[in-house]
Amino acid sequence: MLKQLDQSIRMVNHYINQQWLTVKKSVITSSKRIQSLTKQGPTLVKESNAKKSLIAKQTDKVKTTLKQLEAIEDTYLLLDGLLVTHEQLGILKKQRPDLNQVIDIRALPAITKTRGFMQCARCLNTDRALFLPFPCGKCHKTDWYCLNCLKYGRLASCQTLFHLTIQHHQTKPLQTGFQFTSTLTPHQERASDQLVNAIQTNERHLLIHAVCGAGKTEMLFRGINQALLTGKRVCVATPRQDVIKELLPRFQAVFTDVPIICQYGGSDDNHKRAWLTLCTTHQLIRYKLAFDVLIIDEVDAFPYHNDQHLIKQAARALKDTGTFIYLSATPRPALVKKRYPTCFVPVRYHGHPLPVPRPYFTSFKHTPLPKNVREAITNERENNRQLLIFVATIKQAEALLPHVQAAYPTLTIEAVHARSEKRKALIDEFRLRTIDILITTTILERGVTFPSVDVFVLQADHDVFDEAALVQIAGRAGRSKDDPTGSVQFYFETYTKAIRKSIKSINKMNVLGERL
Amino acid sequence: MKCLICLTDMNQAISWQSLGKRQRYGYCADCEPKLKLITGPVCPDCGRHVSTGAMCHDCKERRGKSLSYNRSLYHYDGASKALLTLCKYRYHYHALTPLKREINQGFLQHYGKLKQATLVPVPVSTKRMEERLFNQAALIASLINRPALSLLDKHHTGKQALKTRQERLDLANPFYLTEGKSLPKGPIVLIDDVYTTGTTIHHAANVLKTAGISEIYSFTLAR
Ligand SMILES: [Zn+2]
Ligand SMILES: [Zn+2]
Ligand SMILES: [Zn+2]
Ligand SMILES: [Zn+2]
Repeated sequence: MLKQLDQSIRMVNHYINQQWLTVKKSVITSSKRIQSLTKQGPTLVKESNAKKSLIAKQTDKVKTTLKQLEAIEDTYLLLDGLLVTHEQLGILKKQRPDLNQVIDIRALPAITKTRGFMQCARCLNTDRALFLPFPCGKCHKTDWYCLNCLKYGRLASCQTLFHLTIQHHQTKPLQTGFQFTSTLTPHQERASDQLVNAIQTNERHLLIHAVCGAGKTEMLFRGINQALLTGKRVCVATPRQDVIKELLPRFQAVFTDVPIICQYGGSDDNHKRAWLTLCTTHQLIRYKLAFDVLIIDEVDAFPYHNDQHLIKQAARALKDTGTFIYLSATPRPALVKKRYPTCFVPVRYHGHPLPVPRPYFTSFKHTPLPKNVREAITNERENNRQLLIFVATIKQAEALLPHVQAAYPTLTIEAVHARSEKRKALIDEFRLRTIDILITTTILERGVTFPSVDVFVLQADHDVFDEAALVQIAGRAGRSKDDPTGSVQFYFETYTKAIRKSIKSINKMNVLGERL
Repeated sequence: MKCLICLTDMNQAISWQSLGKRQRYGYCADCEPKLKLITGPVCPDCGRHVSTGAMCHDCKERRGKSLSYNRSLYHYDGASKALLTLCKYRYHYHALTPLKREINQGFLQHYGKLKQATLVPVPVSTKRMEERLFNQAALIASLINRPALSLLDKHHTGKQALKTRQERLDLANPFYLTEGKSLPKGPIVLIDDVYTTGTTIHHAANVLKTAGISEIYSFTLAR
């Protein structure tokens, strides 16, 4: 079966190549003819109207062939590097009957089994518990299907995964309509230059280690522009949906001529492709050898560091000649050990040092809102900042809310977590300052920026608050130029390694920042 | 064990009782579908919940019944629809497996007295089988502790869910007997995932009746 498929694919490939060449040839010859005709034009046209119509005909022909070329360009954007199931391929073929003629379809067995080990070709999962057996009604034996990536379309062991590629694509420069006028700080400038350089020289890896609030996004624009100008395809992947939605308008304002698509679970753009893709790291599962530049934001964050498959999927989505850019405020030791070329930005864009967390031993045995926390809230109310209170679990957030509301009846206090229905609305309201105190789980740990907040972490000794999480949380304070300081307080029963290390690392950054 | 829906790890409490019969498939507390069992009086023919226990309008209208009666386990509402979609259209074979005990109990409650019954799953067309690689009715039949026999085949007619009620009623009988199978002696219980208009099950029952089966019942997961 596979052999047959392979053969037919080879035939299709051959056919495409020929098609491509004929299209190209006909464009060249007809444009040459037009040139020659128009040169003679002024004298000839008067003599004969027939010639005139001939010119028109030729122009039309060129136009249609140009259209064909554009269609190939579109197809490239739409399909190159896509991984699809049998069923998805069927849908694509229905939409585009000429599919076989424009693309190269490679078949990969969906689940490979070697010496009892199974691997899913799409999500690269190897966990045996995630492969479920079932009696296949087509081949009448026991097949397996991968539960890990079921939501992207079921893959069973007797099925194939198809990798779509277009070989005869010529990169052409792209008009980007680059509108970026803000001035960068010297640190941002240095990082930006290094990024441009890495992309120009096709470097494989670059780690940008920048503190929270260093202005990472601004550092990216020039590099991305450089890539797009040379016809490279760029993808910016971040772990959180909220962040993607925030980034989109900023990118649209800078790259005014580039269509940008935004992919996350449940977005409308999932079937579209463009030169510039913003997506969640999970969406990279759809691609193989698709991008020239892949920028991965918050490499240290959940779910990226938690799921080894996501790292492999990201690596697969990048072309062999592509450039990997990692962004992180708190790179994990495993990444640091790889010793990739690193660009270090230890200073925030406004030049002020990071607020250093203050640790407080506090017992939460009797109440979710101990007396010293309440006093601290009362004290901080005087400085006119909003307050973000981080807790470890949804349960804790819900338990704490009535206590805080009872203690401050005049203030607007809300709680937000992954399962709250008004999640987005509450975050927007907090940004508009109509909420005074927001109790949150780690969902607001990164990416989102509020101009002027104080940050408390209750039960900071909980497992979910690892070093990276605490550094990120502390990084929510003092983000704006107008209010570059902010109070960060950790409350806990045991002084964990994570708390100690997070404070140490923030202090270290501040020392490094001063030296520069 | 992982939750079949959200894939989170579920730590099973290991006790002496649970050691022998550890389940492989389950839902976590958050994903546990909130299925509602059909209880109380039902229409004697189609098994739909009717507060008076009288025959419903649809069943009164129906002519030429080959089916003795239908019984169903759950109400066909948001929860059961979502679960069946996961199974039938996202092709999650094991989406229903954790319901094995409840399905068995439900079956015995209605058909426990039919000791010699043979289960006949309502078939899917070859085309559908090629996409799905399994028949959800056969899957449900496999969860019931009775012998199952695939006696029927089906011509391809397109997606049921996309058709209007009238279109479905108008369709000619898409079922036919599988060649080379000998008919079982006792009663037959047709098995399907859902009974909506009943057209599908009545078509299947008609074919079996014509073939000479006298006692035909049906059991579906939802109604
Ligand atoms: Zn998989
Ligand atoms: Zn199979
Ligand atoms: Zn679950
Ligand atoms: Zn009825």
